[in-house]
Amino acid sequence: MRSRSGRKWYVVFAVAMHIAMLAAYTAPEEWVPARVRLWSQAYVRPVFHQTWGLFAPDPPLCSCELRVLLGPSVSRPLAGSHDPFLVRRMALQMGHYLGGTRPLPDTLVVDERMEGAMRGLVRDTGGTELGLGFQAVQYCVDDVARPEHRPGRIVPIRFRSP
Amino acid sequence: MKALDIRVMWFQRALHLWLLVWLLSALPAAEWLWEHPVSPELGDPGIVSGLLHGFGVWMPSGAAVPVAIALLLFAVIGAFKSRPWWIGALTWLFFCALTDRAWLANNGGTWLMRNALFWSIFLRVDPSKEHGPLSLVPIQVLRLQLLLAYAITGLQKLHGTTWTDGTALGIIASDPTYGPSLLPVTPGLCWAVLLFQLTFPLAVWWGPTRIVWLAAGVVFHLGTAFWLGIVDMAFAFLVFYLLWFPEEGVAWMMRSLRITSTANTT
Repeated sequence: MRSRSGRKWYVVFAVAMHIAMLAAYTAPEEWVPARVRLWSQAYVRPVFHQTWGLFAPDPPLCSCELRVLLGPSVSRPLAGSHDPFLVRRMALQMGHYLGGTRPLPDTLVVDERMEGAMRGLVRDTGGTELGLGFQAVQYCVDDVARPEHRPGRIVPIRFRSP
Repeated sequence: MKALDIRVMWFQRALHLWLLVWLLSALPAAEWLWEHPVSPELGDPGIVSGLLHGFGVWMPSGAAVPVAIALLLFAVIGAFKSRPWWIGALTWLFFCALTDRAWLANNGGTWLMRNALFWSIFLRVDPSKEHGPLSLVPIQVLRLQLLLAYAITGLQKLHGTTWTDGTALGIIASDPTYGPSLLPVTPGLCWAVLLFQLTFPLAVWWGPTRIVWLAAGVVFHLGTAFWLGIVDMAFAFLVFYLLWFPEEGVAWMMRSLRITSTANTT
């Protein structure tokens, strides 16, 4: 029978390996050897996935609000202050996934997956109808010494689907 | 009851309380989160991830709301009493299925709690038994998980430029997504956040510094909760603080609650 202290060292080793894998998975990519990174992804991603990059390495220089066009000059955000906070968060994350934390191109092209998500959020306004238009409104910092100065910019959205 | 058992019990209760509040706040959004999910379907999940996706794999696709209600029940049970391991396992699986289905609504707090719920399956509070090496695994992993989160986020910030030059908080405060800016944002505040996150994993190993850093952490997370609106993530971190609660504090609480202390631990 294995001694109690012997088992203790197995446990210390197992805990240390687990934490080391989490560290390799979440640390800046350049700091982790590629092979170790792959091992950590295989071990961590299925069950222990986590990310610690909120406002890191730098906070986003742009905010991005996705809006649905209700008429020629009328629009509203995909999720407003009256919506539950998790719905507002989904609208915010959609902007992030579409690259809205950096200056967007003149026209934002959105794939089918995210198009479905955007339309799903505004299904109460007929968002699933193909004719409905969308746009992104960005406010970007152009000088980090004056972050409160954020010129606004409207970016039309075009869907990749026919 | 031992100090370690008390801390584990508090952690378990707080974890389920967090889950309860999260679910109650998510239910008004159930239509977009789970019933007719807005989040695009995740790709081919593979065996393990398939188990966690749940819906359409081993649970019917239309079962999301009943699952959320069952999870609510488990959260109530866990918030007030010890639950058997199989309820812990179902709690973890159901939470994973719901958060995978609504992955666009996830943040670091959600992922932290998925990890916490997994390890909490194996946590036990049994004052009649000594903790053997194996029973300490989930406790130590959970304790170290908190330190890792701070260390990595601190290192990630060192990797950029705006936290070290002191402009990061100004950028966050002026972001209409997170604002309005209510705090006086100075470069010193940026450096204080960086210092706090990088030193937390060391400071909590010694009694006097542990108290100071935990207190600073409470202020920090309440700040992010109510200033930046990241409430669920802030309280997810604070749940983990209970595993680092100072022994003196546990002893004082036990005296106040007239619980007999038998030993101190870690």
